[in-house]
Amino acid sequence: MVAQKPTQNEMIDDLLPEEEARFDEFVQRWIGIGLRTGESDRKAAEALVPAMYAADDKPAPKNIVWCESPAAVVRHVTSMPSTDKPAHVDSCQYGQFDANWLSFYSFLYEVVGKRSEALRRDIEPLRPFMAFAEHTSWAHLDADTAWVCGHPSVLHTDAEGNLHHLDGPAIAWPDGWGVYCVRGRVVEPNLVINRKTMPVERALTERNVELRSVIQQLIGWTRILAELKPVVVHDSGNRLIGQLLECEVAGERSRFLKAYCPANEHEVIIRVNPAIQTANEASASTYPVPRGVPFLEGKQLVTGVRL
Amino acid sequence: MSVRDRVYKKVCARANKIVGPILARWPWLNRTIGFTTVKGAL
Repeated sequence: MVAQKPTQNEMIDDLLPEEEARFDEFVQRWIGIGLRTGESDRKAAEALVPAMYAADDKPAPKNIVWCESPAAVVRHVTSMPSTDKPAHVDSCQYGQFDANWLSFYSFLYEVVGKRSEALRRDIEPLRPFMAFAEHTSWAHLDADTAWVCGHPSVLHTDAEGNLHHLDGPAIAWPDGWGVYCVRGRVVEPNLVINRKTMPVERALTERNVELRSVIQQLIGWTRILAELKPVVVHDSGNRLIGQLLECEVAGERSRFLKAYCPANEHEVIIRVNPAIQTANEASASTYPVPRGVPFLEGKQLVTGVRL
Repeated sequence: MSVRDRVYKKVCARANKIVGPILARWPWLNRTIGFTTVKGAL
């Protein structure tokens, strides 16, 4: 359907200062909805279902079935003949996980709508979806049945809002289904479950750089260094440049640079060429510049600027 | 297409035309909600 073009009188070109001042109120409210866990108000959610169907010009479904997790919704729906799983997942709606875009229309309706009847009228059909997000995390609305899932029982994020947890699933539902994540990256559950017994060599030898970083976070540098017992080959005297370490990994003498990373605010260890003799040379080798050229120590070295 | 997507297309297309210039002003809640992560795991 192509939206009708608004008239010139209906157009809103800018926000009033008092409207913009309410951004944070709506952002915080919707982040709260998006990260909600625990019991859902099932009666409130069920009362909203007919209005959502009506917004799509469809009659209310005959049944509303509550499922314990999004995976359970998928299992129920795809157990029916001729249901294609990827298409089904794409046709779900995401309750609280729609907070990102619903927050904007909630703000428009409640704040900007005070001076635009046309805007309020246009957004009105989204109101049941906004309320539904407060009580659910996932749903599949088909012609006969609304399959609905409540909030997760567990939801952990890091300071930046990425799903993140080192001691279990970052997000999980009451039936136990969940997703394991490290700083927003989905990882195999066994990496998290077995992190305390995982061989530390894997944190240094994993070929996939992103996965190696995840494994390093899961194992932790304290255990990695405690188990590998490296010797210090060279100490630069500058923690940003760090120390050149040597230890045996998988039967090979290997050298690593241990330095403080100001961007990540923790120490990192990077495997370097075993022929390298100093921490300065090891640090320089992590930048895309030719070897054998002197570097300034300190900030210029760390930022990769050459003499 | 889901009920949600159909209603979104119908409702938001017109609302966005009304408020077009202020769409860019809204501090979108990126990175706070993990639905794409959950969807990807299903």
